[in-house]
Amino acid sequence: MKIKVWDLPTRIFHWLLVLAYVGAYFTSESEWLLEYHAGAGYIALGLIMFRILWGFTGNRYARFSDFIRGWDEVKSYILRMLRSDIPRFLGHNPAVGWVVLFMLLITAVISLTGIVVYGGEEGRGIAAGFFTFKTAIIVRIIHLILADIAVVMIVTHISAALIHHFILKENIIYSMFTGYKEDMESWSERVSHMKAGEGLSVVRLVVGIFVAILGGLGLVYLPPEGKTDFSKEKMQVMDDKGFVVELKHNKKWVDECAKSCHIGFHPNLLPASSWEKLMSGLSDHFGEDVSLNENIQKEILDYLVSASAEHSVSEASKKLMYSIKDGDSPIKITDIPYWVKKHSEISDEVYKRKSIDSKSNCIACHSGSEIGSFEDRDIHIPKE
Amino acid sequence: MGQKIYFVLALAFVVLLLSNIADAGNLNAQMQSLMDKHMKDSGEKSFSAEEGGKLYYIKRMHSEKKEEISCISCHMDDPAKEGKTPVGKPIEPLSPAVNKGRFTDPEKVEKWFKRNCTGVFERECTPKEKGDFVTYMMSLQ
Repeated sequence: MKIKVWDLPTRIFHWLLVLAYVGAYFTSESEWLLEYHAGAGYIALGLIMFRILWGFTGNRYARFSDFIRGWDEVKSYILRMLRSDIPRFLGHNPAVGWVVLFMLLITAVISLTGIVVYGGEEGRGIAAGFFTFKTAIIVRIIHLILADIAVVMIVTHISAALIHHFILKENIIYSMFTGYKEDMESWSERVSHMKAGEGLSVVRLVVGIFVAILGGLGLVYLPPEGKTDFSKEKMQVMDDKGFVVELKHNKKWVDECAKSCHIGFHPNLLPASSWEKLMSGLSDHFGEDVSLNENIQKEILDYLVSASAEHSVSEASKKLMYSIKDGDSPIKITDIPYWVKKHSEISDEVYKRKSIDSKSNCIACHSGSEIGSFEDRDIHIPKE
Repeated sequence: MGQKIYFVLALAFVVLLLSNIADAGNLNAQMQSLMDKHMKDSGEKSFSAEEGGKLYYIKRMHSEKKEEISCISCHMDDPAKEGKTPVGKPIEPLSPAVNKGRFTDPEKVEKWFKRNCTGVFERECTPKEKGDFVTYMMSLQ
């Protein structure tokens, strides 16, 4: 006999949350998909709010009172599980009940921290204007760590569902679509020929969980290396009114600064005060006299200031600004604390490689450097 | 009819070839007037490719960098070769024999004379030195 366990709202909630997670995961790496990422986060938060209410007013198996049990029951379930004598529950078992609650809460916190970061870093979303950039940077770390934990949690959740389906012969996967499970009697009749723990050992369980965690970490830490086509990318800059507009390199800058002795160091790599200091000292420019006529010098300085780190929408610019002490105006990019820390693990040997040659050859590893793009996924360190 | 077209094309090719040969080793009008100005300022009767070559290869100790420096530190011992800036960026060959764009834009030539003479000799170059240098480079055909 079949018995209805998961009511329709609970099932719809479950699969919408799956979609929200999938959407958020695949839009998390790209700045350009950030709106969609944020959208998925808002949807997830709304779903969690619904699920919490439904936990009080849903059907029997959807209610917290059904699956949030005391420590004694949880302990007894875990002990029986360790002896491979796993009791069956129609709804959530006592151990997983707390995990479900944890999953709901962590999802809510991930969404909320995301909203804070979106408001603080991008100035967008319902929290725009409420949080500073500095707050957002710290909250972002929490957001990322929790998101990593969520990936591990999801992989474990799917593994557990597979264990229940294939090893314990309990049809919990289909039940999340149809809502129905076998009742206790027909199930125990069907699996009665199985000895307790048949097909399942603690070792397998441990191995399964271990693989699940490794798989989760793999998904998080092994994203595919990007191959951005920078000839097609457009540069962006924030104008004085705070609008993000397209940036085009100034022609004089290209001729004098990008086509002469060194690669073009993008204006977004130094704050305006640094560019002013640097451009007023061209007669001794890192030991060389590179004086320009007054008009060209002014035109280039104006360009540099209009696209300086303060006007940048890139993460690297914001972080290097954040690392520079108030009142400092470094003119050497490789002296900026953020640069130093970010490159601290790269040995001197790497800089000596033929295709790199010096620390100032940004473009050797950051193929988007001349358009001011330093995204992690585009870093490629040549082997020789 | 068809033969006529081939004849015109062949003629055009020959004219183009001849004009190129005639052009080789010669400065354009703008560069020539710069050279004339240097000639006048230096008070010389003619420029010396040999002197220009010496200037290109001469090594001297830089008072601040405390190292031996010369044109060839960056432009290599053969002007037809690709050079390298102090930060490792390639420099197109200086010799007009392999790099047609060299010594065609007086403004660019003067700009780099000013920078690089200061960089190597810690002073600006004299009109005679500039004239000799350009003459040397143009003789490398």
